[in-house]
Amino acid sequence: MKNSKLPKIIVRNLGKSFLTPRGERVEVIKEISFEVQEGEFLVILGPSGCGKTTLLNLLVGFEKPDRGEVLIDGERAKEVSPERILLWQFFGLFPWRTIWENIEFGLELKRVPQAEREKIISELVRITGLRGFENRYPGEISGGMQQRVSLARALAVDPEVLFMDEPFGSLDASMRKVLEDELLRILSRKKKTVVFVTHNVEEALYLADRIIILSSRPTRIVKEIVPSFSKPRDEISDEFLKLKNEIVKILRTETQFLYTVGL
Amino acid sequence: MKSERVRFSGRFLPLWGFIIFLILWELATLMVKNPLLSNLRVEKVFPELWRLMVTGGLWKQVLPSLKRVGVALLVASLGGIPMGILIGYYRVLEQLSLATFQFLRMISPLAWMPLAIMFLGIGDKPIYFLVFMGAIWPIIINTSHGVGRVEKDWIKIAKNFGAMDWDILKKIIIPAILPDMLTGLRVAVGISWIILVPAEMLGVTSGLGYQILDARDRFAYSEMVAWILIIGAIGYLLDVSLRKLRGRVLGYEKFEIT
Repeated sequence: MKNSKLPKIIVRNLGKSFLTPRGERVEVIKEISFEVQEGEFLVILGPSGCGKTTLLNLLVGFEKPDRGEVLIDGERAKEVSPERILLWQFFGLFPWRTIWENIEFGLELKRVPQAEREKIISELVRITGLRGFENRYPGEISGGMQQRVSLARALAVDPEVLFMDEPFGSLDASMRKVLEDELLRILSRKKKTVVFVTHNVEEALYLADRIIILSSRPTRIVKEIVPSFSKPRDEISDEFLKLKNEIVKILRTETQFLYTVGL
Repeated sequence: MKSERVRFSGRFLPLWGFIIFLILWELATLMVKNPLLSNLRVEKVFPELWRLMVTGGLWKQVLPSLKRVGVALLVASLGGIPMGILIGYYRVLEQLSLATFQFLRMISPLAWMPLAIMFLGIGDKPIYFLVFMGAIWPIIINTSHGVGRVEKDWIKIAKNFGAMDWDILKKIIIPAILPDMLTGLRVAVGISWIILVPAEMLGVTSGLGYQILDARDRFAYSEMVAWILIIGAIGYLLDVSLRKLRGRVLGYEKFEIT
């Protein structure tokens, strides 16, 4: 262990299978163990359909594992909690609420006084670049904007951990780039533990303190990679490209089966 | 230039449509040779309409009618909305009840009239009941349909932020189903207004339905048609205002993410 402190999240021998509608049991996660340090940006990288979303659902607490356990601060997490917010690929904003009201959602539930709410929201609106859009509805703004709102809504309740499920996966490449930079900038101000799931190798390398590479189903950890060079990273630097090639090679072997059957 | 003129006239097209309707009506009463029909001519009916408005006789009948529809709709909403939410939420309840509701819905509320009078007596009560029986089904069915469209993700997200069951109902389910609820209400208002007139032809001495029979008994046929016009006009206004209300409450809807 690099850190003498207790890891923020400990995942131990986690396993999960599902029953299909036909009654067959499908093993999604074989056996996974890893740790996440406080303040760390961990990226979970894996091919499509490898059970990344299931893994996140187990970590957040939406689902219970068949085997193994998830420990938060050394204790088994019983329920979902505003301390651990999941950001969804398709943003999950409430269409009947304005941008401001969407960000306010968690603060209402926490019964934060009005004056304090306004302070928190206006700061988040500023740092996420949403100023001027407060009274718009989610359907009026672009996907990139919507994901900023989703991030602001999560940060409003000041969670300890942010889980992100391919949050920029539905955005075009240039918008994704912008939001990746903004995410890093925002996190440099508001230090959070982040578990970020993606199938995009460049994105993983650009953001991560550490990368865990998953196999296709049933999922297990194939390799752990710690990029040694510091952020912000240059995507056309030699070290970046070298590591990228290495990861792509690993993914190729791990997903060969998927390629051959044409999935 | 041309498109501007089309747009200008477009705004008044409904009015022109109504004028054409009046002309056809007048022609019909002129063409058919029947002494009774001469009472129904536009130039006889509209002065009656004017008289009812200026003497205040109109409001004395409109208010009891509106009250009956209002009470029945209120009760139907208070019963139908929670019912619709429960049915929409629990699949078992839906499967248990929906076929029966669809069956009951197809029975004209007026079919209950003898029973209503037998058990509720004469007066406003059987009217409340008959209108209620017309209004409740669209409210239940539309509300439950709305609940079916609440995305499971929204509920998961709310729970993630610490929402309890009550918060989920108040902050997710009710706002999410509001469009369908208001659609149900609008359909219910239309049905109520239609049921009201025949229901008021029984055992009450006020209201728009009663006035039609009363005018007939007084051989005041021009006045009778004036009452018919009033019924149509108020029904139309009710529908328009509900549509407006829906548009105001659901300003976000035109931006809905699809």
